Amino acid sequence: MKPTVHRWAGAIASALSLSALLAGGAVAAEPLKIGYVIPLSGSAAAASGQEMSRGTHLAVKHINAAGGVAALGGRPLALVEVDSRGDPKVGITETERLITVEKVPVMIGAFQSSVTFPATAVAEKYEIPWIVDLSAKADITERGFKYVFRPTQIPSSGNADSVVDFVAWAGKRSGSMARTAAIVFENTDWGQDLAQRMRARLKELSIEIVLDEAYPPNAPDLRPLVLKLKGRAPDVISVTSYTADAIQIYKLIEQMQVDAVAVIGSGAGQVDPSFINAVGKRGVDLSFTTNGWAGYESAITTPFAKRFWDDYVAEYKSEPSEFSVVSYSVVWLLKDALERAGKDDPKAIRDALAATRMEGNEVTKLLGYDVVFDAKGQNVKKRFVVQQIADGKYHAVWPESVASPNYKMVWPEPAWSARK
Amino acid sequence: MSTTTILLQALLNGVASGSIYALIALGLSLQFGVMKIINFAHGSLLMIGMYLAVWATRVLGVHVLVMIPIVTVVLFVIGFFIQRWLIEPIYRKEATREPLGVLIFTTGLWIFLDNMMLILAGPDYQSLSGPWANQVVIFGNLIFSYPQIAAFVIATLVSGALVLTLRSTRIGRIIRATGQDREAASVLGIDSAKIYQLSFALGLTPLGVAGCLLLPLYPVNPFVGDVFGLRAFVVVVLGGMGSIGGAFWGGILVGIMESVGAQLMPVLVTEALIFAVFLAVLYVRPAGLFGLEHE
Amino acid sequence: MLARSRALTLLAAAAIVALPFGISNPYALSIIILALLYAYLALCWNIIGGIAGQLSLGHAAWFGIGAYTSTVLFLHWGISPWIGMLAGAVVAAAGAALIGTPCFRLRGAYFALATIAATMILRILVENSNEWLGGPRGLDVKLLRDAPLQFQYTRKEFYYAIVVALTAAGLLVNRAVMRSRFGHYLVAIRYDQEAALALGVDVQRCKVTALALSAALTAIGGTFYAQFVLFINPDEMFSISLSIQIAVICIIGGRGTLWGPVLGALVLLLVEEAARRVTGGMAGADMIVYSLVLMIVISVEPRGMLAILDRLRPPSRAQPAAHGEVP
Repeated sequence: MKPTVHRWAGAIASALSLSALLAGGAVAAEPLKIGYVIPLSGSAAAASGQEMSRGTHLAVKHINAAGGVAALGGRPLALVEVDSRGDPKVGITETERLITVEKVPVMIGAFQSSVTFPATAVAEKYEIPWIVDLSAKADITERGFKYVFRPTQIPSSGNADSVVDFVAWAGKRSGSMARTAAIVFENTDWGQDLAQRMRARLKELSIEIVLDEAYPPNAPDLRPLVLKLKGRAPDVISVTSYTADAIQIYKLIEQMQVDAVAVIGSGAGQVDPSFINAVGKRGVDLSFTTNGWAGYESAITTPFAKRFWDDYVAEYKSEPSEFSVVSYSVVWLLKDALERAGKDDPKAIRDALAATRMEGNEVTKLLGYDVVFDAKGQNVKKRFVVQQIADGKYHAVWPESVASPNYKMVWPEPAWSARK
Repeated sequence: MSTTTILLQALLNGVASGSIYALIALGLSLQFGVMKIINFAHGSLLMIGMYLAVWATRVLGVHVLVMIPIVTVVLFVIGFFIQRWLIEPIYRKEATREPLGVLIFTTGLWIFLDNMMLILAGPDYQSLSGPWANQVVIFGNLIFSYPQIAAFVIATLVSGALVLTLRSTRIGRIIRATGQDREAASVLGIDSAKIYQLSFALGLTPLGVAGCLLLPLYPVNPFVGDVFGLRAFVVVVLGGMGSIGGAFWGGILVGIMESVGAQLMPVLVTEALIFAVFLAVLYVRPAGLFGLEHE
Repeated sequence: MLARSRALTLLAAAAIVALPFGISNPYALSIIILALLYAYLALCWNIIGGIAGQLSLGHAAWFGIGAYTSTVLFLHWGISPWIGMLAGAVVAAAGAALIGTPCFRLRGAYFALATIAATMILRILVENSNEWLGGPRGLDVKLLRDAPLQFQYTRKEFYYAIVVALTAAGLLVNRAVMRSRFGHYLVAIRYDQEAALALGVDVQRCKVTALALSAALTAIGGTFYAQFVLFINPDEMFSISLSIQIAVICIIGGRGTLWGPVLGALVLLLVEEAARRVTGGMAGADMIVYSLVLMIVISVEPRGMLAILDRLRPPSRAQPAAHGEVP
């Protein structure tokens, strides 16, 4: 009896494992779909959305070239990308379509808070995990949702904190503290949130706010606003704007020769790849900006990062900024979670994401911070840095741990009449 | 800097930006005055002018001001085409006095042009960079950029030329006559169709000038026309629909309101203020502040 | 013939009721719900823009007022959006009377501009409000999942049923107006206001009433939208593009007719889906096609697609009053 059982057992076991191999092999060939909502048109955010999309696609390309997700049998990833057009309605309906028709087990996106906020509610309803890329609205992670994760962005209050902390640090370091400040911001969700926090923190430091103004985004003429700035003559000017407005404002500051100890951007328009060229080297020279990303000198230090940078530049003929760095890293983050989940079940992916502990590896070095989620799905480790633009390049100056080693910060900024 | 200096600077800035608004509004006013049509695609056509200027300066490497005559002619031709082949058939069909069908058509044209440009040029903002755009002239405490001065000088000259043409030349009188009374004009042997074509095309030419003047001051993207188009309507109503001279002064007024108003109140309120004034003028004096048209 | 058209109507009604059960995925149902909402809004617009012929390009104002009124009442005082919906309608009607009275002294084009300006001012006011109205960040309707008494449900069929009812109501109101003396006054005003005035029609009062009715109904659509999407903000609620889209849908379909607005919404739906399929979601593609359709329709037959369909129909005996076209 025994030998027969053994023989049959062996045969059955081989048959089973062979079919499992075949089935597994069949599954391995079929890519794992990732639902991706991003603005590629229809609004000012489209330019940033397009850059983010490039980063995402590049990551998928690199991951697939390296053999896909090992724990899923080498399964490649595939993006199912949708243009949100900056329209929350589209975001909602497309999210639903991606989940119910395309049956994606995970979602990424959607850059703009106005789209991400309602779309993540849809994903939560269907219990599909969503990795938020850059949306800064605080409430996204304040709804008690279990399926929303935000690894690469913190609410804009964190951005404001960085500006004020930097001003305090720079003042102490140079021995001359700024005494007055102006807050100029676009009249949107994001702008108002940032301004609110900045007001509170500046008051704590006893810095007098001599101008506190919102302007309508994409305004035809910001000259009156900049003229107002000139009249009030603040020490520090904080500019919270997207690309078109930022370009206008900085050009006007140069033209109208508005002097200041420091002009500090909030890392949106000021870090757009077109910004420096559009304003011109002289106009942006020695101004500061926060950035969700520390920049080439501080972050492109590993082969992994170099490959990202070089491939991106080669394929897209432009340099990455925070947008593509973040979107690239988010896919690698997802891959890490998929490896730990071991299956493409949404709940398993969700649990693996929640348990993420990325510290000191090549992805975090590219990002400039670790990834650990709190109970709300918010990464508590992300922080903003401050850079100074000099000679057409971004140099990290604060915090000191990420400051560019070869760059010496200039504070205060020189007067326009003293510049070449 | 003293408040007076700031206000003076604001006033002069407003005159400069207002002159561009005036230029944009001029064409609109002409089209309405002659044909009673409201061209909702006006802003989009300005946007096309700006894109033409951007591409040409990039490809040909010429100064943007040199492009003015070229872009102007192109827009003239486009305007002629639109009126002759697209608008005229609808205009003829309209039974009512107010050609709302044309208004609806131009709305479609507006959406079409914006999205066509989105596909052709992408959503990115494109601006003119180069030393000229940033150069400034300093008078004591007042600073003006070259584009600002160029805008004011050229816009005023072109506006003046247009007003003079309409008031004093024979063709100008013919155009105004046709606008006032189509039947009477045809009795006098005026081919109203040809005049309409001329007027519509002429109405777009200031956009060519304005587009080139705006480019150094403001980046272009497919939807930039919406903002300026709306401003133009405000100006036209303030100045009086159909009154070319009124459109000019209306433009200056709006420019000054924007610029000086922003110094005295929050910038956001200024925007609302302009619309409030717009509505007030519509109710109280629909013919406009300088209008000569009778409703 | 009457029996046949009645049978057809019953068949159509049955199809409409059965529709959601035939569709397996919620996404398609969402698209249909939004298309029907647009049909409803176009029907509301038809009263003032079609029958009365006053080109309003500011209907987003009423839409927004409806959405904001019901949402504010719900968030701050816990009042059910069903009641808030009615409140929104009242506020919109009052607003219409307020704005309409001076605006209607203006003619065609001026009136259109005034409606645009009014909507912009409303948008600016709400954008600059404090937490009460939410400012530029808008308001989130609290997610209650299944709460039909609070105008919320997780299943889409709930919303489908409501929007079908709304569209039916829109059709009924339009038909009632068209058949009434009031409706005939409006048509007279549309064709020749002076003549109507000379004949003793109280033009001003008729226009304002029509606008108030149209506004109130539009506001109800706004509440529906707020409860369906659960998020409103001034940019979207008071947008010029929404105003234009509502007007354009009605015009493409055939303004002043009964079924024109519905046809227009159907055309929009088809165009958007087709553009998406053909271009793979290329930015702006659907808007290009749509604007082309608008320009072609208005050039070929300013009365809209319904009139085009009529022309294609072989000439026969008297048309049934089914599509109630007012000549």
